[in-house]
Amino acid sequence: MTRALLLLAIGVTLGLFMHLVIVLAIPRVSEDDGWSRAMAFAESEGVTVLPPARPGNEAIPLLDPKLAYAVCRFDLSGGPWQISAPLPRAFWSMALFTRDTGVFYAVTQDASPADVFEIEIRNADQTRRFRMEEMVPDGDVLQIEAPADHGLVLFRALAPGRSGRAGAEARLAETICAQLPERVDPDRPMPFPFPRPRPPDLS
Amino acid sequence: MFALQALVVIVIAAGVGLGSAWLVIDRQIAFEAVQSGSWTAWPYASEAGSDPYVRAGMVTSGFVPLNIAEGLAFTARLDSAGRPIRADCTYVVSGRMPAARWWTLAAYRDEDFTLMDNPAQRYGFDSTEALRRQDGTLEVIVSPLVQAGNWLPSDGAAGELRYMLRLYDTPLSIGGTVGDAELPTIERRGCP
Repeated sequence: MTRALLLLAIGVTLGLFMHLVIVLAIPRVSEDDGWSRAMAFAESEGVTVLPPARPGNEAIPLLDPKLAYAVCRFDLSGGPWQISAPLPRAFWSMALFTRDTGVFYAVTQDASPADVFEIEIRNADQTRRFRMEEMVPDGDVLQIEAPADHGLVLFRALAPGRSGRAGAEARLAETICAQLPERVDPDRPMPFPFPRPRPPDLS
Repeated sequence: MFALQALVVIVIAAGVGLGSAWLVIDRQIAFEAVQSGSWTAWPYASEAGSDPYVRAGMVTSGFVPLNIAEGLAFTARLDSAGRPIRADCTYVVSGRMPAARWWTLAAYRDEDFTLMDNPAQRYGFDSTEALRRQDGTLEVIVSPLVQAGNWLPSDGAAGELRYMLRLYDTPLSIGGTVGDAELPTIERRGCP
């Protein structure tokens, strides 16, 4: 009897351990997750508009049939990345994510007073360099630091009513998602010692 | 004798481990879930360090969740009386929509999360096309039979359904009052 209880206790303990391993392992081993599916759709360059979510033709499960979606990849290994998105009138949003961290940045069109939303994505190194070199960053361009070099951007745009889809998809297709053209010579040595702030002019 | 005991331990471990993991993921039991009536939301499902159960569930369903900065997605698998939502029955989703610039409502097969084919080619409803009553409330009828007003068609052969109500650009996501949100009720009106 005691032996049976002991076996049961060992079995249950091992079972609980298995439970934890399975739950934690699923996101790592799965090849059919949202990330992988979105990645499979994204062309290596530029923005890919996903086909509308219709029965039998759903790029990713549980997409909203009333939305138009687009994806693009970013790759910071060759330099910073830029996104310039014309905003539609109805709901628009953008989510930046990597496989390991999930979404690290997301906004809706409300974040931009203009009718184009502009951001630049940099990794930690590029951000540091940018802050040193660029004394006055362009206020209209949002600067985002990414936790990894490779990631995806998912755009959502509401296609309202029965006829809104064409307009929403056209706006998404006009989005620029590409490596930022070089503005400074990357071989230029880092400024050192750092430029001192000029003393206030007291005259 | 020892081999038998080892076998017993392995069978118990496998049963407990696999069974419980399947159960929590399939039932979407998660610590970060927010419940309001029939509706459940996982506001932080898209973020790093989120509940591992939510992540596992989202990954197995292939779902790219909405970030809280973009909006909130509520899922319902049961009607207001607590019964599973059936594709062959007629349901009335009625009440006041929570504060949001836009919302959409869609119905999916609960089994594989796919949309249902229908002759009207209508797969969802959005706030710009819904007809409202004078007092601002509205009702959407989800039914395999043709309905007047806001009709979201279902395929009678689709089995059990899940409804998704998505709020885009909603103050709920900022205020931290997700659980207080008043969401529409889901009443079963009739079954064949």
